[in-house]
Amino acid sequence: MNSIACKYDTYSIDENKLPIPEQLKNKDVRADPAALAAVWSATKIVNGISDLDLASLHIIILNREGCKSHIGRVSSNIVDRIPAQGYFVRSGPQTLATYTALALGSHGGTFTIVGEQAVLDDAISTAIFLSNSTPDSSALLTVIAKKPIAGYLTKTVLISQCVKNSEHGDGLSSQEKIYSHLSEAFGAEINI
Amino acid sequence: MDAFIIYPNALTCLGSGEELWCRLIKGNCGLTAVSEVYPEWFPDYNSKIGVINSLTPNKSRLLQILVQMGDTIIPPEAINCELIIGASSLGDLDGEFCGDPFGCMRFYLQNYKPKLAPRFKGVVSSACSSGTDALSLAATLVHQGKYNIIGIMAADCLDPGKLLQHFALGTQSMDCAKPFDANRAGTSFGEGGAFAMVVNSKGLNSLSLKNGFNILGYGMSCDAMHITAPDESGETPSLAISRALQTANCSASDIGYINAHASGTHANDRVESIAFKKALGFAIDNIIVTGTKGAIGHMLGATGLVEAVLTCWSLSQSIAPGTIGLHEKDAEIDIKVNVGGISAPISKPVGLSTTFGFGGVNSAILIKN
Repeated sequence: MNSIACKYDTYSIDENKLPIPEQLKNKDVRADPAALAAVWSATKIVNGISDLDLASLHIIILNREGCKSHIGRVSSNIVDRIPAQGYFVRSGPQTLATYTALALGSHGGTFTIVGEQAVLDDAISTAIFLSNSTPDSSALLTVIAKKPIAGYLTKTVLISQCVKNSEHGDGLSSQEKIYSHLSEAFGAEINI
Repeated sequence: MDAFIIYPNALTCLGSGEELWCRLIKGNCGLTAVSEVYPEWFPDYNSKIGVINSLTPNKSRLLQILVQMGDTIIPPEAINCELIIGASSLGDLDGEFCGDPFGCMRFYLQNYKPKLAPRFKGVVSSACSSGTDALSLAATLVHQGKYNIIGIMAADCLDPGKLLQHFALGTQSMDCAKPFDANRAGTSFGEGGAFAMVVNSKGLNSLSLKNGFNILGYGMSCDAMHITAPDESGETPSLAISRALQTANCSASDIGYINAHASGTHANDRVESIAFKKALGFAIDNIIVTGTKGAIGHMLGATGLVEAVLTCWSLSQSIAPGTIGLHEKDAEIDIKVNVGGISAPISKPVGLSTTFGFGGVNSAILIKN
């Protein structure tokens, strides 16, 4: 396996209603707030990178709650047997990842892992594997945590193969360093 | 890849294990009219769905399915799993596990399989591709040597509230799933689950097994175009298949069987056939292609693992179950597909299973007997 280079970022917002990112405005603006948090963090971290191969950018999102806001709307309508199909199709945890791909225009593997900190190390191993799958591959791994009062904290890492003069990262990174950065989201969720 | 599927099994509306396989090969259909399953919600609907029998109303359907899976398809050997990964889409849409299959699976394991519970860490969610992607994730982790034995537990349920959404969307057929048929008009949703263990060579040795179904490679892609509709060009779905071939280091002519996603929606089947042509070229003309949703329904987040299990069984028996619901192939579908209940012999040991889901997720996995 090749050496990896990483770029790290953090996105934090203290409100549950998030603004619509520019990258979604002409595509689809009905994302759950958690999905919007994923999009904001992704667009922020790739901003300024000109040589990112979007065809081979894999996206993995790790989150515990999924799209709770949209699920709530669907289930409350079900009580009256009224469909809410517009929310329904945007309520699966996968939308955290697929909205991110939609915003970036990326075509790599795209999925969400619903779980807690225990699965983080496995998500990192998978992201590193995918970022090494072809010479142009990279992987975006984001942990989204809901803040206890309002808003979201996301920790993101963009993993690429270590190429000299690349704009992607801050040099050689280790799995431990990635873990340390991403796990702070779980800490925030518990402690704030 | 150094990754093998062992003890694959599935729980569907046609039963599980050998019973399921025999009924599939005989051309049986396990679908039931909605009006019989949910008479209070849909008294006049003849639309067909694939539900698990004997589930009690007003209790978590997903939990009840998991309990049935524990009694029927999770083998005693699962105790050797170092990690359990779930796969599901949304699970229940009401009750205590509303939209929380992770919470439901954890509750199930803690209360019914307490020895496995500490090894359960997460649920892969990529809509209808969840089961395939969980399998790929497990293959990655054992191939890396991070674990030697992983259990994949895919399950999803079809409560009336979820079905209501699919009727409104037009994805649920008003009749039944007719994959690749000229008169197809939607899928038949269903529920159930699958369980499989994924091991590397070291894992095989430790279980005193000589072989399993080798996961040769997998590929994923995302259309990044629309939240529900597929890439009409078939380009991005074909990318997932090409990537699977690339990681497997094999060619299209090595493939003897495809268990297609074949949902029966107009868009999916057309796009999927284009994707096969693009990724596999002329080799597709010599590959047996079938779909199983006309027999067992589209099992939502579980469907990928269920169909990977059926792919393993088909390869091991060298026979592919026919495509129930397909009577007259759509002229637009430019590939050969096995019609109705007619099973077909498979002459090569490599199979491909494809799944496509909401959000434009595309997944393909190559398995060798």
